[in-house]
Amino acid sequence: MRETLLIAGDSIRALLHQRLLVALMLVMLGLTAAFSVAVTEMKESVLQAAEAGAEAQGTGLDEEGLQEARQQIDMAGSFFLAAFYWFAAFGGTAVTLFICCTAVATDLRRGTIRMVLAKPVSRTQFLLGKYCGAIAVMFSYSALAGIALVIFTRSNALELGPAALYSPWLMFCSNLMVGSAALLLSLLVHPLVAAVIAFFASASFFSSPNPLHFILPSYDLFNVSSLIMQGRLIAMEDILTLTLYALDVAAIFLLVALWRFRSKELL
Amino acid sequence: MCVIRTENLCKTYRGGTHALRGLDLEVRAGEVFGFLGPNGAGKSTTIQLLLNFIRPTKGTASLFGRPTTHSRTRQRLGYLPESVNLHAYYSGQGLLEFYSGLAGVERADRRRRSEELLGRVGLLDAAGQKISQYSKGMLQRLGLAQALINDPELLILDEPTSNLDPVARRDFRDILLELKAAGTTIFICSHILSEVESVCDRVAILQQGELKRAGTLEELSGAAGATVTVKQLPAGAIEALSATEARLTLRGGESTIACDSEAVHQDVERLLEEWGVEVERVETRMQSLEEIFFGAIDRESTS
Repeated sequence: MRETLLIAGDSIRALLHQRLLVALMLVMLGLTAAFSVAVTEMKESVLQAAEAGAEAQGTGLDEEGLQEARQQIDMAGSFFLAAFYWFAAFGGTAVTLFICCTAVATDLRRGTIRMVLAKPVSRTQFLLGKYCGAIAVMFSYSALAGIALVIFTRSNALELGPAALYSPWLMFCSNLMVGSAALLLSLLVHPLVAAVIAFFASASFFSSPNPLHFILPSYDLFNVSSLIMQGRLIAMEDILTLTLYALDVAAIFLLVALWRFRSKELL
Repeated sequence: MCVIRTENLCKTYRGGTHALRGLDLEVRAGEVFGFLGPNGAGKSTTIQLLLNFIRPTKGTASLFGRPTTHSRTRQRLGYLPESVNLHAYYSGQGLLEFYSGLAGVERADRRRRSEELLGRVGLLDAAGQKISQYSKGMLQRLGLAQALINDPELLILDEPTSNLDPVARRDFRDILLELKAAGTTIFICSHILSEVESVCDRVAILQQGELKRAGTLEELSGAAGATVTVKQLPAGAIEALSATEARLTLRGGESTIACDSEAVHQDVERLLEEWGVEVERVETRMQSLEEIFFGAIDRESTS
């Protein structure tokens, strides 16, 4: 356990050294600012259009017109919130793919893996440590995305819809699956190829008669963009089921990765 | 007790390269074992098999009597690779603390142990410096420090002094001699034969994956010539000796005959016997490790 935690800590330190977490925070900040500007502009244009419409009819903007404009703003606000989430989730997937595909490959390329595995550290401990480090960064990213989501909705006087409340957790669960798939694939093929395959290895890319639709995990189940737009809520049981599903898929990929890594020659 | 044992160890890489062909090796506790061979002989492959970085095609390897696949066997060993690749984002002190954690050193002792080793390899002044700013020689010394972090019973060194200047090389040898005196088993691969000769108890010479010779220097070295001293040398004997490859020196009432090979020595002995010359003394010169090495390997197949 101690060895696993030390390697996890080392992985996080390596990512910090690459300024990855700082870059993530800056991306989140940039995303929040960009969407806030877009929402402000959208609000102004909706109100201006409503006023222009009222002026054309020779009347001022009455209560009914204002109500209609507010409805339009709310709808557009939900759209921006969903888009914000989509970008954040996509960023999270990209970060996860980067971290997990390079977790072992970088150590192999630099030769540092030999220094570590010459110590009384088993390969299982090494790989689990790398994965735990990646999980910590993925969790931090999801937490950052959650905070950015709250800041975005508050600063734009938007309503934080029910689906938006649990979206960072589902983002994290989805990244657990993508990450373990990427880790496994990076032990078999070049990290870049592994990242591409891991991204597209989702059941949602294949239609029903295709056997891959039934074999591959579905990342789409965790994308709540449409629910955010519709303002719908997922039941707690569904969140629990999705969490267990993600853990199950991640565990399967991780076990296969461990089996592969144990017999891998460190040339 | 055998610290390292390999039996019929074979390794064939993908593509059919036979790196190791049936290596049988025993390294006993407390000895310094030199593992020699030209490039591509299979030395690094052997080390990688011992450390379980790669798997043998055939045969077995064990450390401390247990298969090399047991990660716990590495609790008792230290390893310094030829090219020291360290995590560049640590300071020297930070890296040693990280490795000491992996090696099982208690948290409370890690700082003390790291400082102690940094002092021993002469890097205490650079303890807080980032490793990315270290020179090659400093990296090699830090590499040695990390190999010693768990006070190992077995030290595996792969070309340990390749990046060191002469002063650091001497310091390194002194550390090895200290470890040897303390009873540490040392398995050392090196191209610097004089270095191996000065510290090793036994050596093995490997070529193209096959063990050519193994044993103590005394066991392996044969006579490499001799210097024969005689009191009185008749003129006829001087003439006869001058016709051989021996070098004759006449000094006062004593003559010395230097023979550069054992064949020349035997010729000289025969001539002296024929002329009835009484031999005062014979000093036999034994082969150096370099001579043993070049005698063992087939230079044509290496080139």
